[in-house]
Amino acid sequence: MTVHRVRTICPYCGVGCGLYLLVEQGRIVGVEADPEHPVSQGGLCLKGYYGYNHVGDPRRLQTPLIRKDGMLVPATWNEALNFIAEHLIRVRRQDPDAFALIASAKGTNEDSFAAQKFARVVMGTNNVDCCARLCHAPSVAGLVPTLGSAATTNTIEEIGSVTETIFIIGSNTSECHPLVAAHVIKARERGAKLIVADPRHTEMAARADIWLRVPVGGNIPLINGIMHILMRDGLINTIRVNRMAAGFDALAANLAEWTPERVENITGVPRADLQAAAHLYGKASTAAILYAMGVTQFANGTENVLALANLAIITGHLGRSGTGLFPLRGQNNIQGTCDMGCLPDFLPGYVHVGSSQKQTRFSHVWSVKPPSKPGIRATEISEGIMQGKIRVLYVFGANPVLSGPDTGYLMKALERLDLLIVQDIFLTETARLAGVVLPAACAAEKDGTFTNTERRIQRVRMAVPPPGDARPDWRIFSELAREMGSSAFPYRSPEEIWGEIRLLIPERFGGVAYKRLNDGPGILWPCPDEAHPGTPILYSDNVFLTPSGKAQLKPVPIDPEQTSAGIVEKPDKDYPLVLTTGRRVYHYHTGTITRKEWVLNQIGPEELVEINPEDGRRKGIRNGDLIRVCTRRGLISARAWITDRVPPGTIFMTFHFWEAPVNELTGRAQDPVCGIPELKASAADIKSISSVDARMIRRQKKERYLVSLEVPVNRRNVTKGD
Amino acid sequence: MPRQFIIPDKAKCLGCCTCLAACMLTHREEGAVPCPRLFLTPTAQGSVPLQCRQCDQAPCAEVCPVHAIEVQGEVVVLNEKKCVGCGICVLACPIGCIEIQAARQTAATGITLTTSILLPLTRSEQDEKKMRKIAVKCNMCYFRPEGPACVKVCPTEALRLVDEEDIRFWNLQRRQAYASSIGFQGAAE
Repeated sequence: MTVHRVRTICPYCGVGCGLYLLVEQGRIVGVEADPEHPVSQGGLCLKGYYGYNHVGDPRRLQTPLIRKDGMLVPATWNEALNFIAEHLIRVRRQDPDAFALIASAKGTNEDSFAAQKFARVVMGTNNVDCCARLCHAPSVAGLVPTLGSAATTNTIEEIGSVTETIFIIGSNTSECHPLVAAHVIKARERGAKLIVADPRHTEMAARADIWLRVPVGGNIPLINGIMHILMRDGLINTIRVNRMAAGFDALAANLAEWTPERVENITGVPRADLQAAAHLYGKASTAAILYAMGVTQFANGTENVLALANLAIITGHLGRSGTGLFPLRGQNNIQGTCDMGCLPDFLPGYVHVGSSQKQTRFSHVWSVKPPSKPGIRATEISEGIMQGKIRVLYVFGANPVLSGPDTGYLMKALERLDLLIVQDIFLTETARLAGVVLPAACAAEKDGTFTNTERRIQRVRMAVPPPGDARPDWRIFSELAREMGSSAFPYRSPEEIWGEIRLLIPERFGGVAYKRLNDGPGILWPCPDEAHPGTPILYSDNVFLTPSGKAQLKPVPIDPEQTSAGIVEKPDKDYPLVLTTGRRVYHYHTGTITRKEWVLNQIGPEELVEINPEDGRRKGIRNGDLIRVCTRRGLISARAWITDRVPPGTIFMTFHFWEAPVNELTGRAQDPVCGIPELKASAADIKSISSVDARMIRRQKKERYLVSLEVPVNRRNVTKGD
Repeated sequence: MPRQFIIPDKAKCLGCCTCLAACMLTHREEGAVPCPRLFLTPTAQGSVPLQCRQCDQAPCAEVCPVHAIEVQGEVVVLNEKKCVGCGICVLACPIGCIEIQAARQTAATGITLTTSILLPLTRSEQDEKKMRKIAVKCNMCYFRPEGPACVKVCPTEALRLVDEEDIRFWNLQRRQAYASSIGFQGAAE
């Protein structure tokens, strides 16, 4: 039997590793790592190697489904598109802003572009957002005004080969971005130093030269403290800083009060460690900061990012090889989805919706003037529905019912919608509540491009045909647009969509032709013309993408009375613990895909709540006990893992399991600047429970998330769900 | 035949579990109990995967009452058909790299485990009673011409296949370093 090898990109995290899918008789039978890939260099993690069986899973959606008499029943594409079009035309006539779209960060650039164009051109609203709202919205809000772009400044490969000091803050790199961590390990081999700031004793923290056990929410004091030490010890070249940046005096004034003693009082990080870390970072000739959700998912996430930007600017650690800022992106194409304008305030290429001058080119190409009022954010949608502003929600490749926050409130809101449209590859927890479900093709079933966390645009290739009637997302949007009478979607291939993107945003993508992507290792934007090699390093020669070309320093003051970590819902008598959330290496997000992979689900079959031995003793909880975790919003049951990975007073959970849906517990407190929810800190309590109680809670969750509805396609017609 | 075993490099391991997954799938395809034969062991310096050292005078083989464990050439092999799950080998192993696992047969996925690998907790005691217990240990994927699967997939090359030639080479290097430290400079021609 012949086996074809199809070169493509891993569909999981933002690292964008290269792999070959091995295809035999229209079925994927294995994965090989791509030894020539510039990032993964012949390596893959277990999701990349073994997470491919979901493609041929019998539970894949194969036909559109329409809710009739309370049940989702199979329908033809004509019926489904007709039904949706009729509904949307009515909404458009009455109030276009009553429509909102949540775009996927797992689709291709072409899918994302089609999604936002559908919202803006066909529906006439900027109500389009993506899951960046839950992950790197603060990076956009914090890095665009200071540096000019929210993207990673350098290539990942430079971490392994050049960087002298690596500072990881708020990133569990080895679990969430394993192949970035592999470069960190490579750097350590050649003698680079590693500083890790994290409340949890992660694998990276265990291997660090200096581990700063900052409490949840203590980032700003920590970073300000580091800058204070650098200023105090004369490690800042003030002349250089003033030449490349504005606002240094205000920052210096703010930093004066951040003595190491004060930082130690607030965070508990020993001043000697803080000083050693500051010197290691400040004195290095090349230094990189890697950060992720431990920085952004706070109600002061934007300020956390600003503080990091300040640190990188005043030390001059930007614009050279191996030296820069790495906001590590969680999803395979979240960078691309933001680039393509799936944001309520930005058109493709980060053109602000209100900028009339730059909007002209969109009006010209689209023959319609895109709306200029910023749209609603993903985290404001449940509130918007409750207030009657949003009546139709289109969810494309996302599962907000598990990814939160405060999903209890969201589920109540979803019930009030006139119509919920979900387009996905499986009948997700969100899709089970929909009025119409559209079956989509997954990454192995379509052509297009992904943009990884280092801005590398890479070619994704179709290896197998989609199951049944499933279609690529860009095609679904195009057909729906045509059904609604629009002529703006004449596309016959992803390449034609990409052509339009190049035309609209030539300064970034003008030179990124498919034929260049087909042969090479991908191109890093900006790449304005076909002779341009792409831009591995942003801000070289310290020229920034801000209007003035200078970096902008923005001091981050916090309440001088503040004596503990800066989180909204502080622990108290009733809820004495801080619940923080994250991921594990063997599962991915809401588990829609990885929970269907035998080997991954076997390695991580259930949720384990990390609890410090001290808290375990106090609460009478032993390793492996069944416990109840509750916050002001709800309760869930799971198993306890008594471990030193978490500090006393803090517990950790993931959002992979519907059996223990942690986002029922998280709160809706938001960053006022960018709207990211504070997923990293909720006040919680834990209690040991009997297995009878645990089973009862599990049964409730099973009913709540309509788990019985997801069945293999050959059994779907005999299922009587509700 | 020269002896072989696998050693981890603790500075390189990411704790990413890719080796565990490779081990499980490789043995599943072979019809063996699909448990990982590596044990990801948490330490203060990070996790490290540990596995059987393929001892020459293997204590597990010596104590096995049904001769399910045998030294075959360079590998200590456990015959799952013979194993009665008594657990004496677990007690005998000096490095804790044999474990009794419970496995059960289900129609949908073939053999399924019911324990989490990172934290071996049983789902319920009743479940456990119904299952067949069996000892699992690393067998160097002796049936696999390409060699051990875990070594091949590790993204940081933290697992290393060591044979007697490696050991001879390292030993010679160390002796030469020692010789130079006591005044004998330069290697011999």
